[in-house]
Amino acid sequence: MSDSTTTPGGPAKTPYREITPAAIIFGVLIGVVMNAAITYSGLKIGFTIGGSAIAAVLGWGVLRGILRKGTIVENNIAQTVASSVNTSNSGVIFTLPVLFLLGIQLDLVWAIAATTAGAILGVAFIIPTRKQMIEFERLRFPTGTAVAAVLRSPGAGVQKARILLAGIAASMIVFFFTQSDILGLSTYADLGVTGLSKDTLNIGALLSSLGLPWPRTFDLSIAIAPFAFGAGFITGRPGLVVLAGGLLAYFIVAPVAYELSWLPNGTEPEMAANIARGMMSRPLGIGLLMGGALIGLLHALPAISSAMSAMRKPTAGGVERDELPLKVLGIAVILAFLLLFAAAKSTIAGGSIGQAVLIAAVGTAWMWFAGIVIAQCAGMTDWSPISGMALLTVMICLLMTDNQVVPAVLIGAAVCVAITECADMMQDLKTGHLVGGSPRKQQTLELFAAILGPAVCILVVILLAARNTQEFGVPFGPGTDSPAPQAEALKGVIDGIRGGDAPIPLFAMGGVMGALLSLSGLAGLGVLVGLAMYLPLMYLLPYGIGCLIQMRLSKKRGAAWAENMGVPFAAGLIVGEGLLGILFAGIQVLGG
Amino acid sequence: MKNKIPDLLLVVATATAALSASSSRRPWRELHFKAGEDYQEFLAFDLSLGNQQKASEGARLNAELTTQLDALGFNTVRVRNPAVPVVIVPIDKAAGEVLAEAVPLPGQTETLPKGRLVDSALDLRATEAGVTLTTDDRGKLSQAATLPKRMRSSAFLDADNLAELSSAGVTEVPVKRAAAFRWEDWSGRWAFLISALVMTCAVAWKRKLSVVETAAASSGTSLETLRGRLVDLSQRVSGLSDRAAGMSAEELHTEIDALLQGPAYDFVEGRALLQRAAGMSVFALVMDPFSRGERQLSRAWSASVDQHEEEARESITKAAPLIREASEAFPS
Repeated sequence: MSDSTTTPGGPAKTPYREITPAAIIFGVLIGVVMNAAITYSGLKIGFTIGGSAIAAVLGWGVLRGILRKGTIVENNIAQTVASSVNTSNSGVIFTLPVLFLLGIQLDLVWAIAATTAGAILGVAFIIPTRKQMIEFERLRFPTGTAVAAVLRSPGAGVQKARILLAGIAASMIVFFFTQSDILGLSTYADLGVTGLSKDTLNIGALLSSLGLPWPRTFDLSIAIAPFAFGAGFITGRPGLVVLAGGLLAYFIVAPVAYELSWLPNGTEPEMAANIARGMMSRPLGIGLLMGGALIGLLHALPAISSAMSAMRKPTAGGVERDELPLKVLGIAVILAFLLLFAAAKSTIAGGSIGQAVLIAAVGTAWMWFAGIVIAQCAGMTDWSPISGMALLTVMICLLMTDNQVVPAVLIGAAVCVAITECADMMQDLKTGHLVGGSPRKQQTLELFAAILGPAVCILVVILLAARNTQEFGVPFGPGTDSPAPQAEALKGVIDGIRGGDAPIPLFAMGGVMGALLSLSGLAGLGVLVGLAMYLPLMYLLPYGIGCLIQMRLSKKRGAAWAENMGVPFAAGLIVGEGLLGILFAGIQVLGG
Repeated sequence: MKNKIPDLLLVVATATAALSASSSRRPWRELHFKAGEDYQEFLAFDLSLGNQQKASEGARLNAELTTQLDALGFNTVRVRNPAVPVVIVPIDKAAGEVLAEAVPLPGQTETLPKGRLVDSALDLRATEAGVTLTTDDRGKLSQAATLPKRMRSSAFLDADNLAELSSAGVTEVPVKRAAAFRWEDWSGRWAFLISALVMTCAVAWKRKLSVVETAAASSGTSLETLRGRLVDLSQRVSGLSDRAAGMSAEELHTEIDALLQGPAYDFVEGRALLQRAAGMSVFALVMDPFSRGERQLSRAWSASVDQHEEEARESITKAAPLIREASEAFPS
């Protein structure tokens, strides 16, 4: 931590700056600000923005530009801390506001306790899989790769730095007009092109307006999302399965379901894709994810076991131990489990100690499995199906608590925070691997920084709820400035489950399909197809186009060219949209 | 072409499995009926009965209708699933149910504060109550409004909600009934099972082909080439480690960059062959030290960019034995 040390018998050695007070303080401050801003905008628009890329760019400016001290690995620590503090917001805002929507008082203490336990468990559980996912499977983690491109830009040569900047600029220009109404400016919608809204282009509607035939049940909309294109490019050929899965859901299942009257009476053809996705493709996709991930996990067990053995062994040869020791992780897991148990025990009406232990134990085990699923998804595609996991978790907890919403949602929130931390941790560790950071140092800081995140966003949620109640008469939902669309959707699911309408058979069928696909020998096939059926096609299309262009360029100019020239541009696309996204979130916060 | 058949089978079977699974969620089921029998089931669609007569969607399948349909040659009909999505139950039997629609609480009102956004649902509710809402240009209430209070649709009837309904004098409530999944009602079950069976066969076929391809690749030069890349990397890293003492940060950076983008990148690109040919355990034995060494090289790269030659040299020194360990673990 000090700037210089004296080596006995030798000249003064300047340590290579990695963990420094500047990096930690900067990371915490930026993380808290991003967390608050993204919590606010997430409750407004329904989705959240990752913070790693923003933290990396800002860290570069502050640590290197202003303080004139930052190194690449120090900046990596700063972005690790910042994203760790920030990332829990999606886990919280997809779940806890549902209590407000159901008219239930949120218990601040137990909400913070449960989600903090989730944050600790998420980090502790995912650490033993780092070696498998990052070093053996070499999953791409597009955001992690993009952040590494930002951190490495000063040494990557002028050409690569220019390409990265060009990507950032292109992304910001394209993305700006999807959100410019926040500034009172025109958006793409104002161009008056048929099918073009402010952030999507409905190609089917456009073709129809040009007199070309297009079936009304085929929803071919593409989101104006440079980040998705960039993530697809970085993923390359393996990501193409995602596009294929999306086409299956939208161009086979939906039209057939409409034509064979499997959808509710009165469904308009234009709505068929969305309704079929909600009723069929999404639950089936979640099942596929689960089945595929289970097989992937069984397949990876030897490698995980080898990694855990390595964590027990003493170090040798002066090389630092890669991971935090199992003993430390074990203590973290026990403490977090106790916290979760206390939260469960205090919120189950008339619950016994045994029931609380069971719920906490199932919740903890589920965090481990779901965390691996999410980390795999993020590694392969950059997407994390957090709301799908929230749905499954709450469903399981409702079944275990005899339909008691409060403990089910609290455990659901803990699981969601845990899995967001898992995905973030792995993205950060991927960045660390690419820049030569110490995984152990990243893990240590992430473990502590993650604890801060849930409290920050829960406080923002409570403040917003209080303000909305005062101004609009209700805390969240339709009729307020914070409709909380994800929580609203979860409320619908909870209502459905309590009414006995959970799509359990579809989950099971998807599970069988996912397991079979993952047994095919193509790594993660079940997970990828499941994710594709779960996600809206409008984001899969730019992603798939990114994959196709990467494949084309690799074939034409060689894989090394695509890696050296294409990846920095794609990284710029991810970073540019992230930067502008946080800027608009900040404007929304300041503008109320 | 023959090698593509299992892929094709897998794609087709996945699509048919997804379709047949999706069919389990349709809101109707086929019912075999007997003429003249009376059923507590309701038509899922309009049915033409000839002579410009029709039985409307929602009509109960009573004795008269089954007789008519039988006379027309039908013996099956599509009925709603669930038959009755909403039932009225007495309040004392409603515990654990979910409200199918909003229930007015007689004699109680609620006040919506000034500033509340007025959406179409709220507008409709006010119109039904005969209340006129005044809004500003942003669509928000320009003054507080009082509406009759009601319990929202989809509310779960726990003890608190039931007590609130009882105290308002509500005696019965409409509650939801979900469709139960029944194996015999799922007409796509055989299609799903056959699709799953085809998927299993395709997977087995693919795995068999993969073993054959791997054996061919392992016996050829590919594995040797991969080993060659690793040995080359090991020798070059060791050489750099020996020469590093007299090199500047720029020189170190250039050399490390060439190593990472050259043999290290090439080895990583070809690693799947090692996994298939030697199995996961040997793969882990090679990749573990290789990845640690590669990370040390990346650290040296970063340190050289940061003009920290000492850290760069130290990291190269740590990388050399790790890459050597990986090349020694590579199966001969």
